[in-house]
Formats: sequence, structure tokens, C-alpha cells
Amino acid sequence: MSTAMQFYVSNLLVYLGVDVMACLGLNLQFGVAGIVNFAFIIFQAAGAYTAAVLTLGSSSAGGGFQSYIGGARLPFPVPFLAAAVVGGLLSLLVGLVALRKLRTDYQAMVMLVISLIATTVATNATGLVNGSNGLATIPKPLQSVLGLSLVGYQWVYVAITFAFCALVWVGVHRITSSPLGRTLRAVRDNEAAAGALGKNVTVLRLVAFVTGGAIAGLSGAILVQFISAWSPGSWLFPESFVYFAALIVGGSGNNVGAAVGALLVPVAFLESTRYIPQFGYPGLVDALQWVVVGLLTLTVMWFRPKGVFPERPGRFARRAQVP
Amino acid sequence: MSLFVLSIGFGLITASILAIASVGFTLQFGVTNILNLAYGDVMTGAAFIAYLVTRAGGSLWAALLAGAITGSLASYVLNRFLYTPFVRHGTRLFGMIIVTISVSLVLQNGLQAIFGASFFSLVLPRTASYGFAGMIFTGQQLLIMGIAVVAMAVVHSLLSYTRLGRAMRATAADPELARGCGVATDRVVGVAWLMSGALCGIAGVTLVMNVTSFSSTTGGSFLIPVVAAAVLGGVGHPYGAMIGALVIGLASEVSAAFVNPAYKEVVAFGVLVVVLLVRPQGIFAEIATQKEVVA
Amino acid sequence: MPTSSASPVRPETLLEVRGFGVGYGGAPIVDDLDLTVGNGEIVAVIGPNGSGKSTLLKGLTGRAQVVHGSVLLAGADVTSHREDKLCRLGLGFVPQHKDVFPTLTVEDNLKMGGYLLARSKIGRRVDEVLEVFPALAPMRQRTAVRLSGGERKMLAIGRVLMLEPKLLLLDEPTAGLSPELARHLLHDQLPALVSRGVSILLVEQKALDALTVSDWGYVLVGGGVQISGPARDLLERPDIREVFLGSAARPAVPARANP
Repeated sequence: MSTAMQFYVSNLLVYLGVDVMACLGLNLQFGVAGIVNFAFIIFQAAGAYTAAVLTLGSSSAGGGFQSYIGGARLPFPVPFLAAAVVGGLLSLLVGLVALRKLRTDYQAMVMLVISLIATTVATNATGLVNGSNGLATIPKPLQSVLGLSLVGYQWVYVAITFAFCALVWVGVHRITSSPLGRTLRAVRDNEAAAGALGKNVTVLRLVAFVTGGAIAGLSGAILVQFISAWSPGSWLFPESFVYFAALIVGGSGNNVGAAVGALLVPVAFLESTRYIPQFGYPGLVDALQWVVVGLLTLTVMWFRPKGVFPERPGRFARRAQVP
Repeated sequence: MSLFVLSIGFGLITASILAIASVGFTLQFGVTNILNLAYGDVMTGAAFIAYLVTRAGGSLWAALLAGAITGSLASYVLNRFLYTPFVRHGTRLFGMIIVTISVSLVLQNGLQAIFGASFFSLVLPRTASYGFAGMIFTGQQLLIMGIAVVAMAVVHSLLSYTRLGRAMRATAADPELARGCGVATDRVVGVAWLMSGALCGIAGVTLVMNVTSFSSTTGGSFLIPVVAAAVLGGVGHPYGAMIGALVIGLASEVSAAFVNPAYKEVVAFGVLVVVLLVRPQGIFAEIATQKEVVA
Repeated sequence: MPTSSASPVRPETLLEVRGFGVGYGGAPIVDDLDLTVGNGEIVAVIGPNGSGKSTLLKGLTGRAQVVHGSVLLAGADVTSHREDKLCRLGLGFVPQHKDVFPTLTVEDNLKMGGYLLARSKIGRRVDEVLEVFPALAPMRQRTAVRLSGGERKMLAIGRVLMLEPKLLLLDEPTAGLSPELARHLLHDQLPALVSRGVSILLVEQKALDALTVSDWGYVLVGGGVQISGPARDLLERPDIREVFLGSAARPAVPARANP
């Protein structure tokens, strides 16, 4: 493989790992627990930001050209774990407020609004996250220690990504196949039953929400350490929608479906087409890509509403099919 | 003090645009129970048509008319050929959010693909400014407020005093019972979408009349204050939406004058989140909306 | 079919249901059912839970699939007609739940009931219906959601009366009402309606009350008519009294019981 080709493939593989992780996290929230978290990308962004500032060193270092809070220079893998913790804590905070008894679409609206508020604040509060410029020159973990060639390091990073991805897979799988996972599905399928089960349900959904948020944070950290830059503009609401589209195409509620969705929508559809030649005015290809993502989602919603890999019916009675 | 009065003036203009938009939005929801998250992008579509009309030398009135027709037809087609089939196909609340967001994505980026990712302005004659009790309005801003007042009056008379309006409210309350009374609910729903779509289109045009420039994302980002106003008044309740628009419009513009203007939408968002969490049926609604979507 | 020994002559038939079968796609819930309502009669359909009472009504009003049989209203075939068509033909249906428009005022609810009337007639007809239920008259502008249970049921019946139906179909009108209100509705309101020329098909849980005000009764069990006869005779039968006086632990009416 030529060096250019190696870069291309390893890039795609890292993106794939990140997107699979994110889809597994969102699947826990949306597919299993039925929470329409349109703010998913914010938790990923928070994790990414955490990892960034924990490796950049203090704000005044590097000539102080970018301002941020909580700068430190912590060794691998502490920033990754901290990112997961921050993603989880932020989810706990949001979940405590938003996971009350609300109609599904109202809950989705709250999440959407939280996403937009977060973007507005991050863009305008310069002292917080350096405003719309974001952060740059984020160091890559172990790069100086390993002393590898650039392309060699790419493959090391692929390995790191896949290792975390495997960990997340095992963790999520254990949750979804546990009694907790079955209860969450039951609650998702029958909100009336959820009411009958009482207060406990909110706690269970919160567990799913926080775990999903921690996974989002971790995936953000892995991404940001790879691309070395962070800015509010790259974590906008439509990016959340991409993950939703992935789950819907792959098959929400099913981890294999989530992984396949990650491969199909964000990676095959958006990442790989970034390398096709641009035509028309700048931005035309991007716009058309989003049009296609929307149309693809609509098509799948119509023809295969349960996705390519539908959720397997559990041992408990599924939702009655009688209208 | 003068800054405060001035910002109230801005608030009234924003509230006027918001009122037109959120009454349309709330009508769609009231009659079909679909939260149409593509509403803002239909507004943008109407704005672009109005832009083309003014660029071709058409008057502002022609632009408004064209915008209203565009919004009307686009909304009707969306409901008739996309949303209703999805609902009949078995897609529920949960799925309908994804469907309307997908449509929003397609519309917004479709408009961007057609018109390009740049900024546009309506070609309008310059008008004089009028001072009034410490507030300053341009002729066009006065026109916007006038349109809002007329639109609200028309909606009010139609809903309160006509057979069609009563049928619309009845269909919103209980479609099955309305059918039992002999209402052709399909046709009433169709008319409701035509009407709310016209409001949507007019809102889109007035929105871009009031800004120096707009792009393919303008309507989409206006959606949140629209939803905030509608939810504040209790989704599905046109009068609530009017009051909600006034509250949100004033709150966001007055806060913009005293805090960072970039945060004025955050105020609208904040109001929305608080209302949703504390009183999801809205402040002015008598009964909570627990209904499913209707076909 | 075994009926009471003395079968009095019934008035001219208004509603005739023949060999009726209704279901939801699977095996019919209501099967091979015959039922008639005569002009000026109150006819009660009673039966235990799950006996097919509500399915029968859904079949009559086009809300469930009619598998076989026919429904004739004053001689015209109305099998599987939807409600809007039925109300044009003089059959008014008052569902058990969702019987009024909660967000509309009393007056608007009545006007919706008269949706098919000529514009000029609606106002006068609203006044006439409010004469039938004078309790509603002072509440014209009140939203239906703020009515009491009894007022709400009167409004629901009033809404249907707007089109001057020949036959009223009432689905458990006393459900959720206090005993006094239920008695008032059954014993005072229904006969008053009949005196205005309306016939009534009444489906009720409160079997004994329903039979007391009715001319004719049908006992439904397992989706078919088990017993039918003059309401007075049914009331005298010990087996029926026993079943409907609340011995819930017992099985339903013994098959083909003979007095």
C-alpha cells in the first residue's frame, strides 16, 4: 500500500471506530431506552474538549494564543477516561432535568434546544472554549514516546481506537443483554407500563442515558486527539442527526445494526465521499450529501422502518402489532 | 431607559413575525398533531421565492403573495404526500420526528444547493423611518406589524365564526368524532395545511424583510423561537401562540439590548425548556396534549 | 330461539339486524346475531363483559368489520355504513368515551352535531335541543371539558339529537355517572326522548336498570343473543336477576337456560 493509501485507510478506520462507538452509545439511549437525544453530539464535543484541554497544558502555554479552562498535561490514557467521565456527568445533569415524563417529541425538542444553546454559548463565550476559533495543536497521545514515522503512528492510533471500541462493545452488550436492558426495552415499547412501574423507570433510563453520554465523551476524545483540532462549528446539531440516521439505517435497538449503520452512514457516506472531487461552487457537494442523507433516512423509514438489521424480538412479548 | 423603549420596539417587530409563524405552526400541530420541524425551512423556501420576485422587479406585495402561495402549496404537498402517508403507514410520534427532521435537512440543503451558500437580500425600496414614543420603525417594519395584526384577525374570525373554523377545531379535538358528525376530515386537514402554509410563507417573507441578509439556514434557525412561542401558549392553541409570540419576541429583544445580542436566542430557548419541563401543556392550554398523531 | 312464552306484538320495525357477524380480521367476535328495534321502543342489550356488546355497536357504526349479515334501517340497507352516512339516514350514535369535543363550547358542540344541517336551521335547532336538556342552557359558552359527567353525557346526546335521528344508539351512557345521575338519565331522560319520537338501542352494564326502562331486552353471551324477550319478562326471570345482581364469581348465563 502506498503511504497516501495507508493514510487514507487508517483515517477511515479511526473514523469508523469513533463512529461505531458513538452509535453504540446512542443506541443505548435511543435504540434501547427510547430517549431521542438530539443533543448527542454535545456530549461527544464535551468529551473531546476535555481530552483537548487535559493534553494542551495550561492556557498560558504556547504563547497563550488560545484561552480555555482547566488546562493540564496528563498522560495517556487519563484524558480519554476524563472525557468519558465528563460526558457521563454532563449527561447526568441534562438527564436529571430532561428525562422527566414528557411526550417523546417534546423531549426531542428539549434535547434539540439544548444542543443549539450549547453551540451558541460555546461560540460566543470566548473565555470558555476559545469561541468559534476553537482549539488547535492538540498533542497526540504517545506520539513523542513512540517515536514512530507518521504513517506508523497512524496504525498505532487505529489499534488504540479499536481497543477502546472493543471495550465499549463488550460493555454495551452486557448492558443490553442484562435485565436492565430488557426492562428499558419494555419501558420504551409501552410507556403506560412505564408509569405502572413507577419512579424506578426514570433511574433506569438515567443509567442508560449517562452510560451513553460517557461513551459519547470517550468517542469525542479519541476523535479530537486524532485530528488535533476542536471547534464548536464541527459539533453542530446535524452531526447528531447523522448518528440517528445511522441507527435507523442499521437497525436501532440492535448493536450489530448500530455498528453496520456507523459503517454505512457516517463512514461510507460522509467520510469516504469527502475525498471525491468537488464540483460546482464550494459547499455544493456538502449540501447534496446532506440532501442524500435526508432522503436515505426517509427511504429507510418507509421501506425498512426497523433498519437493515432489525432488533430481534426478545423473550418478552413485543409490542402488539394490532393498530 | 431609551434603550429599553427602543428594544421594546424591536421586540414588537420580532413578536409580529413570530406570531404569524407560530400561529401557522400551532395550527398544523393542532389539526394533525405533527410537530413539523421542517416548518422553518418552508419559510426559507418562501423567502427565496419572494427574493426572486423582487429581483425580477416585482413589488413587495407581489413578493408577499408569492411567498404565501409557496408556503401554502409546499406545506400542503408535504402533509398530503409525505407526512400523512407515513402516519397511515404506521409511523408514530417517535418516527415522525425523524421524518420531519429529514425533510428539514433535505429542504435546507436543497435550497443551499440551488441558491448557493451565500447571503441574499430582498430588493426593496428604501422607506422613511417613523418615531413613535421613543421607538423607531421603518415603513417596512410598520407594514410587518400591520400584516401580523390582519393575519391574526383573519385567523381569529375564521376559527371562531365560520363553519370551516369550527370543523377545524372539532377535527383537532377529536377527528373520529368529527368524521361521525359528517366532517370530511381529510379535506379540513388539507385546508388547515394550506392556511397554515400561507402563514408560514408570509412569516418567511416578513422575516427576511426585517434582516439585512438571509441564507438557506435563516428559517431553520428561526424555528426554535417559533416552537418556543407555540409551546408557551400550549401547542395547538392559536391564541396561546399569539401571546407566546409576544412574550418570546419582547423577552429576546429586550435581553439582546442589555446582554450580548448573540444570546437573544438562548433566552427564547431557555423559556422553551423551562415551559416544557414545568408545564408541558403550555401556559394557556386547559388540557394536556397526550394525543397520538392522526392520519 | 326460546323466548318468553307470551310474545307481545312489537311495533313496526325500525332497525333490523339479521345474521350479523362482526370481527377484527380473525374469527368473528359477534356471530349470527339477530336483533330488531321497533318504532318508539327502548331496546336494551345487556350481557357480561366480553360478551360482544361493544363489538356489536362497532359493527353497527362501521368501526369494525362486518363479516356477514345485514343491517336495515327503516328498510334501507345500511350495512357497514360509516357514522357520517348513518347520521344522515337518521341513526345517531353516542359513544361511551370521546363523546363530545372537549375543547369546544357547549354551543359549538351542538353546532358540530348539526354540521350537516342547512346554515339557517342550525341556530333554531340548537335552541330546540337545549329545551330537551334545559340544564345545559345556561352553559352555552362553557367548554365541554369543564362540564360534569352528567352534563357531558347530556351534551353528547344533545349533539346527536341535532340531526333529529329516528334511532339513538347509546353505548353505556351511565358509565362513570353517580347512581342518582344514572337513574335520572335512564328513568327520566330516555322516556322523555321516546315521547319526542326517538327510538333507542341501549347497551348497558347496569342491566337491571336498563331493563326496567326498556320495552324489549337482548341478553348477549359469547357474541350471540342468548335470550330475548319483553324486558318485563326478562326482569322476572330468576336466572337473569341472579347473573346481573352481581354474582360475578359465577360463570355467565347457563347455556340455553329454560325458565
